[in-house]
Amino acid sequence: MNERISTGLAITTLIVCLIVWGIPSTFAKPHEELTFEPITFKPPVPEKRTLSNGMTLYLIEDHELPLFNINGLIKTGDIYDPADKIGLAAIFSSVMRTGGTVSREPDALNEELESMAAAVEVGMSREYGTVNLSTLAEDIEKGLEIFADVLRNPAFREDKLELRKQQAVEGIRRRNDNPIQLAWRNFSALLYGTDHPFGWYSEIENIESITVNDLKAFHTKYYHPNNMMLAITGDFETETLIPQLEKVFEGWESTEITFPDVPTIDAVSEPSVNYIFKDLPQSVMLIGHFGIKRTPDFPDYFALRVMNDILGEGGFTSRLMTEVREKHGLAYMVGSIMQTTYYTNPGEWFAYSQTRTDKTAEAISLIIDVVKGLRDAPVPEAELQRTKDSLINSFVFGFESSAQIAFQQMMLAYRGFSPDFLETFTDNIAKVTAEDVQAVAQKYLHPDALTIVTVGNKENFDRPLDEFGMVNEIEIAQPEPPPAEPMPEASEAEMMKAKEILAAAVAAHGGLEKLQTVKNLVIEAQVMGNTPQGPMQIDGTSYYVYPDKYRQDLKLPQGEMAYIFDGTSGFAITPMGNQPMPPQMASTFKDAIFRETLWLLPNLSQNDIPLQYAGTEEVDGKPASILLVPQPSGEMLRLFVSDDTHYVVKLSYRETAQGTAVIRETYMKDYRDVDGVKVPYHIVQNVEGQLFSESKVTNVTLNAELEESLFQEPE
Amino acid sequence: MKKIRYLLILFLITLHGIASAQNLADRVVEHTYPNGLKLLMIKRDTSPTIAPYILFKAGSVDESDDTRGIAHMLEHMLFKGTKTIGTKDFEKEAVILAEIDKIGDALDIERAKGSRANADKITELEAALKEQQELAKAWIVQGEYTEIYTQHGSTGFNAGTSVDYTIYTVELPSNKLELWAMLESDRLKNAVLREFYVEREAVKEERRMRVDTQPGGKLYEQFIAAAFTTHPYGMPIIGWPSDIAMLNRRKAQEFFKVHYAPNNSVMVIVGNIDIDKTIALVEKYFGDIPSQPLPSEVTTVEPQQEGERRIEVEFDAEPQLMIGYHKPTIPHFDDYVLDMISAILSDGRTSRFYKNIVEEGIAVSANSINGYPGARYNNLFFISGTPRSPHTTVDVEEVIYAELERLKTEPVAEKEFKRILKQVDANFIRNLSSNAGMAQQLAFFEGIAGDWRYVLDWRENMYKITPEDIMRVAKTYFTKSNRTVGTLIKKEDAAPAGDESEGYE
Repeated sequence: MNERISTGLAITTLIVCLIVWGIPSTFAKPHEELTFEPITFKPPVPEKRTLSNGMTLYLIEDHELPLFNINGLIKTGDIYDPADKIGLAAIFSSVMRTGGTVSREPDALNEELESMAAAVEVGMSREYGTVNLSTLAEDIEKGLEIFADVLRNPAFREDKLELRKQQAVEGIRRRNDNPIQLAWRNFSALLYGTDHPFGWYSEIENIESITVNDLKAFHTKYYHPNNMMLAITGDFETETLIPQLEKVFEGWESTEITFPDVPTIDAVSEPSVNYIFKDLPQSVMLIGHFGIKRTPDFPDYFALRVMNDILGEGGFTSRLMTEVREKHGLAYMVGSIMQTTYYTNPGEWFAYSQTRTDKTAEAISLIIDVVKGLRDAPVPEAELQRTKDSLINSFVFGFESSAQIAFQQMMLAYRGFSPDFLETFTDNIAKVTAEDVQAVAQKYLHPDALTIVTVGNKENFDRPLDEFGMVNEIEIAQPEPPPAEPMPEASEAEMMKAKEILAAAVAAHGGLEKLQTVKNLVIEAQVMGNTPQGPMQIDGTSYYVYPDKYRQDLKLPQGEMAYIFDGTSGFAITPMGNQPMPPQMASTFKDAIFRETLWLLPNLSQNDIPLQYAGTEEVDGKPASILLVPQPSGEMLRLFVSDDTHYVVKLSYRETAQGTAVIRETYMKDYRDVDGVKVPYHIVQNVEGQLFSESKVTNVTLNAELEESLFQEPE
Repeated sequence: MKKIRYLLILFLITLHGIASAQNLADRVVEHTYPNGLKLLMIKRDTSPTIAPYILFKAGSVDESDDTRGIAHMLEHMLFKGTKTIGTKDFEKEAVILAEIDKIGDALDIERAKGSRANADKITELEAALKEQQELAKAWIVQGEYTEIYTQHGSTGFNAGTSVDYTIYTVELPSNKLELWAMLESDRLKNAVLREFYVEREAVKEERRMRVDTQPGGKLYEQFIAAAFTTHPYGMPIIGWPSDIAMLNRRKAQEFFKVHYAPNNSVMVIVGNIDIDKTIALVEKYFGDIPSQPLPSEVTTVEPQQEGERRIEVEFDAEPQLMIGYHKPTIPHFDDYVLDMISAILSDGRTSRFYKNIVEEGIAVSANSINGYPGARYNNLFFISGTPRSPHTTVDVEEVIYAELERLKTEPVAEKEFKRILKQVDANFIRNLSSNAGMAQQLAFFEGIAGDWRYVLDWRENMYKITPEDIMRVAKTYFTKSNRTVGTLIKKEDAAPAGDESEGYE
């Protein structure tokens, strides 16, 4: 073998010097005779400045073309989405731009920018936000003024938020159209679970709950000069620019920011095999687990870079590509990715392939074998050298434009990396040995802890997936928004009528004064559940604590269970252990508490909740008046009040869970007196017109002594 | 007074535009070799990198019924090496390659018989093929061609096939120019299309990935086939499943021989180069490739459309819409006008589709592109839309047609023109900021428009367009009888229907 020399590239004296190299072969090949002049390249070094308000700048003057660019970085991100408003950061970033500014209507802002062929765009990633300006050099002053206006004074106009929400809902409706998107969403959700924002995706109800005030609060919290950096490049003079920047940001003060806690996660995930049906001729497979959290002190980074390239990130020459595509023809796209851009949370590591349905299991096996191979044996010297050469020789492409260089420096600073990271990069890659690669493979690849997600049609798989583990089949429902059901136009007379009906109901149920004394409620009942396996006898106890706590204990043949909602989040206690509930279920619980008659009636009489009369309908053969009431989630509740007894005899509403909407109807009969208020002792519930459960109440207690711990997750 | 000011502004913009176009014109260096090879260069010293691209005027439009898909298949095969790269001993390997061809042909013929095929014979041939493929492995150095590029620090090493052309792309550190010239000329002179049948499987996977599992891909394929009844622009670049199943090495070699000639190609090198040395280097490696008679152009002309065509595709996905109008290609003046119309309709947040369709909540996206699927022959003005529920494709169609009607009757305001022309000029400058982007653009215009200076003429023509031109062109082409409409319909009960791509084998 020929001797090869791969001299390191330092950022200050970037030298690409690769003289002669070759691969073992029986005769010399012409390209092996070539020699290459070393390259000496001194890429521009960004100048770091700080504005008087604390904003950090990375500047490179570049007069090649009359262009001007700013790439801004804000410390925020999707990770700060509240659990019940998943998608807030993304919607925020979009409306920050489309909603115009306080002094610029959206149309005027668009017109102004596009008529000077300029752009201001706002973006959001998991761990940072961006705001960019691109303009011709002749328009720098105007461009800066608009850029600062968007940053400082976004107006978040209501109609633009509404439009963005509509678009997001449509995106959710379409999220199962593309098998890759379908697989990816489920892969991340399975991996991170419901506790960590990396696993979250928006449901329609999250999007619907976002308000202008949410966007304003997000802006107020994170968008401050001390919380952002700008990489500025192009045809400008620094000494002219700095005063211009000081001027447009004048009066924008730095502010102390407290960042919300984001849960930390373990480095290894539980293995699982998951299948999602989609009737397509090709399966999508994602196979992986948690990757790395790339903090500045992460010495394994260089060995990992080499390993990732060898495994599946090195394009056409990676092992996955060679094995799955080149040798077996089992994919066009195949590879693996170790997310290395996240620094506060471990990103995903995953291998992917799209393979004909009747070779699905074969492809998964091949991929797992390739992963194992990297752990089991050191990489051959030639393969190692080739990969290191590739990383070292292509390093120069990180310095192709001044915008790229400045952005890169800013990003390193954002993540807390030492500025000499780039200067030592090639030396560090050159030092990586076969043993290092094997060591990081063993440390960071866990073939026994894989989350496998396959989207396809198992009818035509070559082998069942259970050879990889017990298969969890994920049902995908088509998410639909609740039908637009605006409160109908009501006449004065109809509203008066609604109030009369309500007043009669309040009186019938015990009177306002009496109802107001009820602070909690415990209902014990024998429930006959109508399950697909046949009727099931359940003993249940429900606890309602005004205004927002709820617990339901169930004694099932297979053991005891409890559902608990503490006012913000819910969890289930099951024989298999405790499980958090999806954050989206919070609004379902809030609605359930809202619907409890003993509180609903006083609540409606005292508070300004729009109420309408919507005609009469027979309930169990007797006429009842219908009242329309909006619930906290926005879903409409139909309240049926008997014209005869004035008791609430029926409730009807839509409920959306995991993207599927169903109509629930609750019939309330056999009203009895409990401490002066009226409570139904016989409750029948139908779902989509089918009997769901029938409950006989055995005991009702008002204002019981309840322990706080009832609503806390037991250890 | 106002008028004068307006003229002055327009004048300034124009001056600026000329300056940027002139900048480009000054920077492009051309060289034509005796064998007909055209080399275009731009020297940019921003970083020690180069983007050398080669385009061959050979796309799917140049195929025939029995070679459909071969342009794309050949593109894949040209990564398999040469007589020296990718092999340990080509002479020995060649014997096995010939054997593989023979068995592969017999196998394809037998499989093509479909239900009348002899299953035993297929099994026997498959076993024989597998045996030869195993034997060949003794001589093949798998992936060597790509490995050389990778090891030397390449990025963006790839290729693409369109209806009109095939382009080979890479970026390298600038000291690797000679390596590139050697490797590229070697594959032109000595390509060996080894491992054909395994790669054919990867291409089938590519088709499944891009078309059979993608609602948009599936709709587009059917849409374009309906829009072109006669001209090969209606055929899929990758080929129909039954076409791919019959591709072989012989067909690929034949296509290669006919179309990959120096006088049928354009080479563009943008980046940190020495112009004179580059000219000499290309001469050294490519100068001895003989020129040859050029293949004939497609002479079939799509007959005038005599009535609206509508197609539906059922798929397990939410609805989508595609609309296309036939129109002439470059350098017809109306093609420039349609470029301007496309900008008016869908460039940016001030565009009409964005304001009147997207911001009205009727669609989540609505876009127009002038010049689908290619530019060598008369093509389509293409519009796509994604409705927002509860709106349907019918609603989106309606508002799109309303916008097209408006173009026929309402003169476009000066303000709209001005904004678009400013963008045209700004893009001239922005395009120069990327080696790869510039290489792609120059190769395209030189190869397809016949002269890279088309970009300069294009700018001048954009400035000549009047409001009357827009109205005239809209009236001429945006007619019901000249359009094709495709809609993706949700397949309601996704009953397992079997492998939709069963035609592969």
